[in-house]
Amino acid sequence: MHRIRCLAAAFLLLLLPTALLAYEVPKEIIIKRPEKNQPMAAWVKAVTFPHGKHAVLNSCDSCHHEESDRTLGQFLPCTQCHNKPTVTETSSFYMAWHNDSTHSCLGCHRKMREAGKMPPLSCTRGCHKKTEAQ
Amino acid sequence: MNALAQFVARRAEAEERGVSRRDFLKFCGMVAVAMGLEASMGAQIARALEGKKKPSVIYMHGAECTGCTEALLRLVDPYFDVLIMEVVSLDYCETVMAAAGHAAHAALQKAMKNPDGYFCVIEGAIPTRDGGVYGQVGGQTMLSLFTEVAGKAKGVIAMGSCASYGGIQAAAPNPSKAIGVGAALKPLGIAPINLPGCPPNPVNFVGTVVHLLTKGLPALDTSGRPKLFYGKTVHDLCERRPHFDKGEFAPTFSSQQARDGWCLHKLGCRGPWTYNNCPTALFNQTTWPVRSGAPCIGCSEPGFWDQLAPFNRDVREKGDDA
Repeated sequence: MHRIRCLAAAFLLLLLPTALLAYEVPKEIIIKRPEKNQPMAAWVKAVTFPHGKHAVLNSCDSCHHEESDRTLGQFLPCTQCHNKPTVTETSSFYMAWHNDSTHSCLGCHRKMREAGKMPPLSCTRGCHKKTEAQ
Repeated sequence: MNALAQFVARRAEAEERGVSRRDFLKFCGMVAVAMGLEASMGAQIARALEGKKKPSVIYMHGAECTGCTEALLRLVDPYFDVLIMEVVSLDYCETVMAAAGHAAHAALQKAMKNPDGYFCVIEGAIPTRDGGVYGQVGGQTMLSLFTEVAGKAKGVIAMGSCASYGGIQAAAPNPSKAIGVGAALKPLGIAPINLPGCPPNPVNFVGTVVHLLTKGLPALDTSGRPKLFYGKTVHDLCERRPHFDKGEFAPTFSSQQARDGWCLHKLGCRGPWTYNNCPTALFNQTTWPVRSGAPCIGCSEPGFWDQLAPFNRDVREKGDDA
């Protein structure tokens, strides 16, 4: 019995680096429009998303809403599902970020404003920075 | 001629001629379009409405400015009289009823005893501080009166932003501690259909009523608004959207660019996160704020007024002056 326990412990120790790798959290993510999608706004470029900061402040499933302890790592990039070129469907690239659901950037930032916090909200001063010169 | 006089004149005219079949069918076609259906579906709606006994509606006024009723009175296609004579039976509405004082209260009591039940529409927020004494009708607090009326209703519609989420009445410092109907009547298990807007487009009200009568409860979003009318953002429906997409933002209200239809984002438009159908439904069949050169102030959103103010400037970010 004791030997089985030792073997199980050793097996788990072996698994540890893999598990740690699976939990690697990127500090920044560049969000780019899928190549087949036409740009909606000519001036909107790729958005640098401070993923690390959001990962510290929120649980993973607050954005990775398809993830569970059974699917860990299967639904990581938003664009895996949210890649359609339309505006209205929730599976569209645009709606991944601009939905009223709290899984989405805009929906969550709006909800936080209701709670008296001040996450960025302005289109041109928040995520899609645009100066007069541009 | 003021709205009431116009209404009275029109009502007299309608009584004289009777509401024609043509008016009624025109109304059904208009409602079909508002509900996102083909105009030809109007005939089907007409059949559904004709087959039913006109449902009784009790329209209550809370802490409000009567702007929502005023918007409803300006309904065209159908005129307000077609709505209240052909589609519903408006049994109590302080703004348009002839009775006043005790007679009005008696009409309310009678309407509430309707054996077929009734729908309750509430316009305005409900003051709750000190037991609700800062808003009373006939010596009874609005909180207690609405609890009574809405509690027995078959369905409750919150008309306008104040009734939906508190609106202007709930803006800081909110001396009467006014809250929306949903929040105030939650202990009774009442979840109203919210039709926010300051005012809401009357078409949204008519469309919701007809949907209730013909197809039942419309699908609602997380804020209790019918998705039929509040399913898209003002930004996504906006006629100035092509200018946003090109990055063409009007610098000032008086600029030529603003007149040329450039995007009003930098002048404080809240359209990108405001759900409403103003750009397609239009007010008085004529225009809507952004077409007239005023940015959207997000009047149909929960949190309006406080969270969306200050208006006419881009949304406040961390570190900006208040």
